[in-house]
Amino acid sequence: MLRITGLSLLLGALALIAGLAVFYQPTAKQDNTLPTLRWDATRAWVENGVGTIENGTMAIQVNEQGQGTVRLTSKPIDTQAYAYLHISLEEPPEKPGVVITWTTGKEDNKTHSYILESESRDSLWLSTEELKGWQGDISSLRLHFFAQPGNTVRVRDLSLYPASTTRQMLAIYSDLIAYEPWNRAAMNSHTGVTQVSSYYPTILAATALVLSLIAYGVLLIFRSKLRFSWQVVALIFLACWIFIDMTWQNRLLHQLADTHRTFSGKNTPEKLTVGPDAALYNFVTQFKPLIESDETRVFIASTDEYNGLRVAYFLYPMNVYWPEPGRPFPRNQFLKSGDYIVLVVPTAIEFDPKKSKLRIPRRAPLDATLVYTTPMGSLVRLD
Amino acid sequence: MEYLFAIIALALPVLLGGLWLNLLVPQGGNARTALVWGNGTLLGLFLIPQLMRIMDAMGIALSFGATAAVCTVLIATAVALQMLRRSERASATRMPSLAHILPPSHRALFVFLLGLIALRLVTLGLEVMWRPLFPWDATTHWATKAKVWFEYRSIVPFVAKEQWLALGGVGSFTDMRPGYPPAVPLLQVYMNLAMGGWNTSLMNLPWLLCFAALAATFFGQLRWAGVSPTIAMVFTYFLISMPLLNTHVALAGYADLFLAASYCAGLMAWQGWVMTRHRWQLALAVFFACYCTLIKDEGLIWSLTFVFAVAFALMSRRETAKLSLLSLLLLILMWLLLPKDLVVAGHPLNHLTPKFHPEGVTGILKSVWLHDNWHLFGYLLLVMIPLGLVMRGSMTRAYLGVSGTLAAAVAAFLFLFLFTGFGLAAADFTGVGRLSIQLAPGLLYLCALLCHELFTRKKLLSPTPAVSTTQ
Repeated sequence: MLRITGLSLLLGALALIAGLAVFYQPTAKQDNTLPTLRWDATRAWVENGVGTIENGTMAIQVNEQGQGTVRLTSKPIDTQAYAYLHISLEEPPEKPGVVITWTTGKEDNKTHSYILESESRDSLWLSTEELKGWQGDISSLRLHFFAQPGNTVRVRDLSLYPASTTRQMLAIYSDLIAYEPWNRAAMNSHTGVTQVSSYYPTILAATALVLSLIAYGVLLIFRSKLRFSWQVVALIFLACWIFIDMTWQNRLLHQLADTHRTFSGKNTPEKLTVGPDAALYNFVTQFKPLIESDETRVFIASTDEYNGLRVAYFLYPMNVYWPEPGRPFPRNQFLKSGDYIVLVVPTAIEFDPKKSKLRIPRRAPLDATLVYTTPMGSLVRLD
Repeated sequence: MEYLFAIIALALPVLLGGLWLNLLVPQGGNARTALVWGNGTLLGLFLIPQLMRIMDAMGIALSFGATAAVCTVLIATAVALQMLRRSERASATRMPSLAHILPPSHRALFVFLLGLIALRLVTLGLEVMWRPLFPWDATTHWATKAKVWFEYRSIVPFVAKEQWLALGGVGSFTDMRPGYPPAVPLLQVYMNLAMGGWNTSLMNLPWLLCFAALAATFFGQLRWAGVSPTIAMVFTYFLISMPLLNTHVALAGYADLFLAASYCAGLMAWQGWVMTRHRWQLALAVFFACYCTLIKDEGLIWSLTFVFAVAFALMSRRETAKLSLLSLLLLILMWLLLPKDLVVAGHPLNHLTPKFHPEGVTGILKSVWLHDNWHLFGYLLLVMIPLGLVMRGSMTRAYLGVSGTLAAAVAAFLFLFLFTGFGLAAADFTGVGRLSIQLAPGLLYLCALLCHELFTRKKLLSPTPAVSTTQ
C-alpha cells in the first residue's frame, strides 16, 4: 500500500511539474542564447550610504537616515527577455526593508517599485511577470535598503535570467518558503502568497492531489493485481496536506526566530518599547504620568483609526473615550473642566497655544492648557 | 516566579474540570484519558470566568487567592470522591494500549503525526509566551476590559458610548464593543492576578491551553465514537495544523478560538450521547452548547443550531422537517414584526435585512478554497459531504444530529455573508475567516466520522454498521 501510494504521489508530482512547464511557462521570450545579467560591484553605483567590496560582493552600509541605495548600471534591459530575478542578500538580524525600483520607457521615464515582502532572502527567485510595471525597456534599476543607521547589507547576487523550467521551479519554491512577519490582516486571512507569487499553495497542493489520484487510477487500470483501496486515497490526501503544512510550519519557525530575537527575555514595558507599536507606546508613556488622576476622563482625537485606538488601548485602565470611526467628537456640553484630550496626529482638532484654546471644527473653542506635545501628538487639559 | 504562577494558574482549570469529569466518565473506553482531560480542561477554562463573575456579584474583589481557593476546594472534593471510588476503579477493565492495537506501519504514522502536533504546539506556545498582545480587536474591545477589571479588581461596567457620555463617565467605562460577554477578558484578568502584574504575553496562555484541550477532546471523542486511532490522529493533526486556527493561538486575544472549541466540544459530546446514551456526554453537550452564548454574541446563533440536534433525537425526520419549516416561518414573522433597531446577537435587526450580496460569494470561495486558511479542508469537504450523502444512512441516520446542526450553522453562515450587509466582511476577508474558525472544527469532526464510515463499510450503499458503544 505504501509503495503504491508513494508511486502515485511521485507520478502526480511529476505530472504537476510537467504541466507547469508545458502550459504555464512565463510569457517572456524563451531564448536560451540570452546571457544572464548579473551585477557585481563594478557595475553598481552607491547613491545612499557607503559601499564597499568584500570578497567580491557589494556591502552597503546605510546612512544616518537608515537608507542605502544602489543603482545598477546596464544597457537598456528588455523586460520580455528576462523572466526571473534572483536576489541573494546577507542581512543583519533585524531585517531591513528592501525595495526594488526600475524606470521604464525612454520618454516618460515611469518609475515602478516593489517592496520585497518575503524576508527569506538568502536566495530569492522572483517571477518578473508578477511584478507590476515590468514592461518595455528598463533604463535604470535600483535597490533601496531601509535599516537601522550603520547596519550593513551585503548583496551576494542580483541577476536577471531568461525563462527556463528549472528557474520556474525555483521561483515556485521561493514562493512556497516566502516568509512575511505577522501583520494586522493575519487574524482574518492567511492567503499563503505574496503579491508576486505565481500560484496559491492550496491550488498547487490540490492539483498535486488530483494528479496523484489520477495516477493511482491509471495504476489500477494497468496493474490488474491492484485493488482499489480508500486507504491509498487517504494517504495521498494526507501526504498533500503535510506538504502544504510544511510550508506553513516553515513560516511559523521563521516567525518564531523573529519573535525570539525581538521579545525574548524582556518584561512587558520592554516588549512594548520594541514592539510594532513602539512609537505610539513611547508617546503614551511620556505623557501618561502627567495625567493627574487615574479616574480622569481622557478623550482621544485622531482621524487615524489605528493610531487613535492603539493610543486608547495603551491608556487603559484610565477612563478613555474614543469616538466611533466616522462619528463626530463629543459636543462641548459633554466635556468639562479637568478632562484631558489626547490629540494624535493626524487630527482635525487643533490647540491654539497663543490663545490657549482648543479648536474643534464647527464648535465654539474651548479654554485649555497644553500639558505635553511632541510631533506625534499633544496632551491638552480643559480649563 | 511569573512563570511558576502562570503554570499554577493554568493547572487549576485543568485539574478542576479534569478531576470532576474523571468522576463522571466510566472507566474503560477508548482514549478515556484524552477525553477526560481534554473536555475537563475546556470545562475548567470556561468555569473559572463564571466563578469570578459569581464572586464579583457577591461583592468579593477579584483575586487569584479567592478564585484559587474555591477551585482548590472543588478539586479537593473531587479527589476525595475519587478516593472513595478507588475500589470500583481498580476492578475496571483496562483498555489495551495503542501499541498493541496498531500494526507497526500505523503506529509509525501515529507517532509521526503526534510529533508534528507536538512541534506545532511548542512553536505556538513559544510565540504566545514571547509576543506582546498584538491583534486589532484584542486591543479595541477584549483586553481593554481586562485591563480595567484587573486594575479595579472588579467587573466595572462597560457601556455604550452615548450612555457613557450621558453618565459623564462616572462609574463606567467604554470601548468598541462594550456589550460583549466578559468570559474571555476575565481569563486574562485571572492570569494577571495569578502573576501579580499585567503581563502582556503570559496572560494569553489560556489560548494555547484551549487549543491543546480542543485537540485532546477531538481525538478522545473520535476514539469514543469508535474511530480507529490512526484516523482519529490524522484528523486531530488536520485540526491542529489549520493556519487560521494557529494564527488565533499565536496572536492570542480574540474569542473565536474559545467559541470554536465550545461549539465543537458540544457537537462531539452530543454525538457521543446519541451513540452511547451516556448522561455525562449529554451534560457536556448541554453545557458547551449553552456556553457558546457566554463567549461571543454570535454564540447565540450557534447555540440555537443545537435545536436541530435535539429535534432529530426526539422526533421523527418528518416532524423535524415540519419544525424546521415552522422555525423558518417564525423567523420571517419575527423579522417582519419586531422593531428594526432591536439588537439580536449583537447586531441591530436592520443590519440583517435580506438582500443578495454577490461579493460575498467570491469572498467565501476564496477564503475556503483558494487561500491557505484551512490547507486542504475545503477540498476535503467537497469530497466527504457528497460521499456522506451517498453512503446510505450515514448523514441521514447515524450522524443526523451533528449533520443537521452543522447544516443549520452553515446555512446561518451563508445567510449572513450572502444576504446581509456582512457580505462586505466576506469580500474583504475581515469576517468570513473568523466566523469560519467557529465552524471549522465541528465540520472537520463530521468529516472524520464520515471517513471512518467509509473505511468500515464494505460498499458505499450498504446500511450503516452498528454503532460501537463503550458502555
